[in-house]
This record gives sequence, C-alpha cells and structure tokens, in this order.
Amino acid sequence: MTENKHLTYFKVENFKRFSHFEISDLKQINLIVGDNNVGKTSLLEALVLDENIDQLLFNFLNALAWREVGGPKLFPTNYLRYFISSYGNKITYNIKTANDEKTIALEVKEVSTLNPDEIILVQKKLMLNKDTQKYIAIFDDGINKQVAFLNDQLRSVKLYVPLVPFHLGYKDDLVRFYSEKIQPSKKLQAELVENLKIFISDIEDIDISTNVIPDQPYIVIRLKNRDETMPLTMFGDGAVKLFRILCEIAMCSGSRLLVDEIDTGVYFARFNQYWQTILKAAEANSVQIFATTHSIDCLKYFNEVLKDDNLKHLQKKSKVFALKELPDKTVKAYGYDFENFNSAIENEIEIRG
Amino acid sequence: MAKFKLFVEGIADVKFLQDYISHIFSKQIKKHEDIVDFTGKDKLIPQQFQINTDAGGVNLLVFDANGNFEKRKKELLAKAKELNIQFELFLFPNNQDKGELENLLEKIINPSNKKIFDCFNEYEKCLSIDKSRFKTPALKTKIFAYVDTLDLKDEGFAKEEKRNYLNKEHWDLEHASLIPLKIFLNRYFPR
Repeated sequence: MTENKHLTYFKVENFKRFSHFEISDLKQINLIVGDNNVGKTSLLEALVLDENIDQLLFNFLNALAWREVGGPKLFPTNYLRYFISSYGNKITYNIKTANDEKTIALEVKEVSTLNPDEIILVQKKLMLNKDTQKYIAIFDDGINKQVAFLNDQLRSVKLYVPLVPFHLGYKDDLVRFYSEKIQPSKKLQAELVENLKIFISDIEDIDISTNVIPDQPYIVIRLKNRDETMPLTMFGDGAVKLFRILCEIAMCSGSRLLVDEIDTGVYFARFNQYWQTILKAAEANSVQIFATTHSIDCLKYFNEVLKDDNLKHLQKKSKVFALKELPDKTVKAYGYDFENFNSAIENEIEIRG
Repeated sequence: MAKFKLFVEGIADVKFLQDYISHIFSKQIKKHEDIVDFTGKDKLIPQQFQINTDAGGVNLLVFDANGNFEKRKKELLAKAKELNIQFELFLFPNNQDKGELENLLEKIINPSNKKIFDCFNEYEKCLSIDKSRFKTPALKTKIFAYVDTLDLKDEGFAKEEKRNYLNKEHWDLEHASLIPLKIFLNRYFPR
C-alpha cells in the first residue's frame, strides 16, 4: 500500500517563522488556507522533507530559488539560513505515517566547530573538501546519520522537487515530466488529452516539438481539424497549470505533492472540472496533496466536487486546514473535516482565517 | 475587554443583534468577523469557537430556547462538552422561558402600531375556527406581517435581513423585555 507513505502527522521546529508548528490528522487531500504571511508556503517548504540528505538539500535549494527573494545568491555560503529560524542551527521534524513515526534533526554546523565524534563522521568528506567548504549539514533520524557539505555537488538526487510554486507556469521541465511519465503509455496520454479538454475543448493530441524554439523540445497541442500543432502556452495559464499538476502527480506517484496557490491561473467557472481531474489523478496515483489557496471559489468547488457521486468516497480523505496566528505569534492549524467545511461553506461562514 | 464572537442560528438573529448592540453599545458588529450564523445546533462548527478561544476571546452563543428552555440549555451544553468548545449561553426570548427571537420581537413593537397585531389576532382567531382545514400562522409570519404592513412604499424591509430595528416608529429597543439580553451583553460590551 503506497498510501502507507502518506503523512498522518507533521511537526516542525525552528523552521522559518515556526518556532514549532504541528498539523495532525492529515488526509490524502489537504487544502491549506489562511491569511497572508501566516506560513502557508512555509509549511509547503517544510514538507519538502526527504530522508535522503542530498535530496533534501536539493529540495531546499530549489524551494529557495523559486521564492524569488534573491535566491541562493543571498545566502551564498549557508542557504539553510533562509529556512532555519533564528532560534538555533537545527530544524527538527516529527513525522508519522500509518505505520511509522520518526524524529529527524537537520543541523548546520561550521566545519571549524565540529566535535571529535562529528569529525569522525565526516572525515572522508572533510579530506576532499577541507579548504573549500565552510558549512556542513548533519541529518539524524535516530538510526542513521547522514552528512553533506552545503555547497558540495549533490549526489543521488532525483532532480525533481515535489513542490509547485504559485508562479510556475511553462518550463522545460514539463517536457521531461511528460516524456518520462506520460508519453510512454498510450493510456496515460489519452487520459491527459481527455483531461485537458477542460481548457482546450478541441484537443486531439499532445506532442513534443523542436519547431517552436529551434533545437529546444517544447510541448505542443494538435487540434482536431487542424494540420499544424500549437505550443501548449498558447492555450493560457489554466491549461499550462493543469498540465503541470497532472504531470507532477505522475512524477510523485505514491508520495506527496505540494502545490502553492492551486487556483492561480484558473477561471472560477472551470474549478469544478479542474478539481475533479486533480482529485481523480491524485487518487489513481496514490499521491498525497498539500495545496494552498486564498480563493473562496476554489474552496467552494472543492466542497462541491466532493459531493459528486463519483468522488463522494474522497470526503473522508479530504480536509481543509486553516492556519491562524495566535497572540503569542505561534501558528496553529485548525482542521475542518468534510462535514465541517461543508457546513461552513453552505452557511457562508468564513474559514479562510 | 476580551474579544467577543457571537454565534447565532439565523439571519434574523444576526440583524437584530447588530441593531441592538449598535443601539445600546454604539458598536458595529460585522458579519463573519464578529458574528457567525449557524443554522442549528447540529451544525456548530467547533473550529470557529476554538479559534476565538485560542485568540483569548469569549464566545457568546445566542440561540432560541424553542419548546423547552431547560432542555435546550442542557442539549447545547452537552454539545459544548462533546465538541470540546467553550461559550457563554443566552437563549431567546429572555434566557429563562421557552420561545424564540420572535417572542421577544412581538413584545418590543412600537405600541402605537398595536392595531396591526389586534387585526392579526382576529385573523388567527377566525382561522382557528376550522382547524381541520387551516393552520394557525407561525409567529414568524405575524412579525413579517407587522413589518410588511408598515412598508408603505414597498421597500422590502420586512425581510429578516433588511429589518431596521433602529427605526423607533417600528420598534422599542428600550423595552423592559430586553433587560435580560442587555444584562447578558453588558458583561462583554461595557458602555
């Protein structure tokens, strides 16, 4: 059962604005709402947690680059400073799945401050990097310790980060996702074509072409009754967004996908089909979704599609979490199961914070 | 003063409390922010209470007593325990008798308009002669008829959400029947 990998509980300490933050009774589909700057995106960034230190650092590096705050250049020697709150040098996680519970610590240290035990731990790497590296990250899950220099070349990395930033539209990574996960299967191709009809009603086929930008593969769409193909980007932000999310769901099958502002680029009247498509794809691929939104329409249609006969069974697997800042500046997650968020939406009660 | 949040069970309650609190305490109550409208006790959404409690606020649940004050009070307190939420409770009309908001409204009409009720009572009496064929109109209908009768220009203010309880020609917000509510609210809205 791949769903056994899905998180049921997540706690993080010393991460960005969270001195400590926990979110419990997680479901397969988790929609996160809340005021600006309450920490919705930070939660997604914390959830890029990976149990391979190289992958985790790769995920953090990309998450930081996507933040458009100056990217890693602002933190040239220790980019983890962006994620670690001012309370210390260590991020601590406590995670639970259906069958497992783990406490994980990620600590950053200056090489010059390592204690003798730590020097033994990193000896091999240290010999290779003695003069070039200043900071080292130590990952400890209570069973094994892994180490990596922050600016070392990251090995054993999937070159994929399961985080969709809100502004990310078309990029050449889509060609890779499509060719790796969708194109090899006629069935998946046909499903994607069918799903894209929400935004491209007369779509016939999807292809990869090098004619759009010379020598650069590009996703193109063939329309019914038209000979030539057209770039995917010609069909608007909604089509690109859905294409990306469906490809990314395929990329992280059995694991989790984090989507910031899932509504961005989608016209409200399309939300019903948009949600149906995403929920069906998440279910088919056993993907646990964490998505943020500010949009009341997005929330309303999420609620509406869960009442659809074909998706009713997902009511118990769906939850809305409202993040609120408390008077002591800590942030608390209030989870609304389907019954409660349905009641709130039907009575026009504001639950977004 | 602790941040209060009112929880009620209908749009009529929202509008009445907005106007009453505005009249007594000169405070504007905003829907969603200060007052949450549920449609019945079974639809209480616990997170709404918890959020306000965690923020250091006080929850004020203002519902109808319905057919039995003690029973209703007991039910709601049991619900609070079940949902692990905290609130201060007031039940219309006066926090001691059975009834609903409309029983209170019936008492606080401007006495100069009493004729409307006299006529309505006659109408009810007339209908009650043949109970097998006609039902007695609900109290809500009587209140609607009262306000609608005063709406000479057909402005639509008889609707629950559009009623103006601050209109002294229609309502008396200083009526003695409002004292229990005033005492209850006074604890949270000092003048």
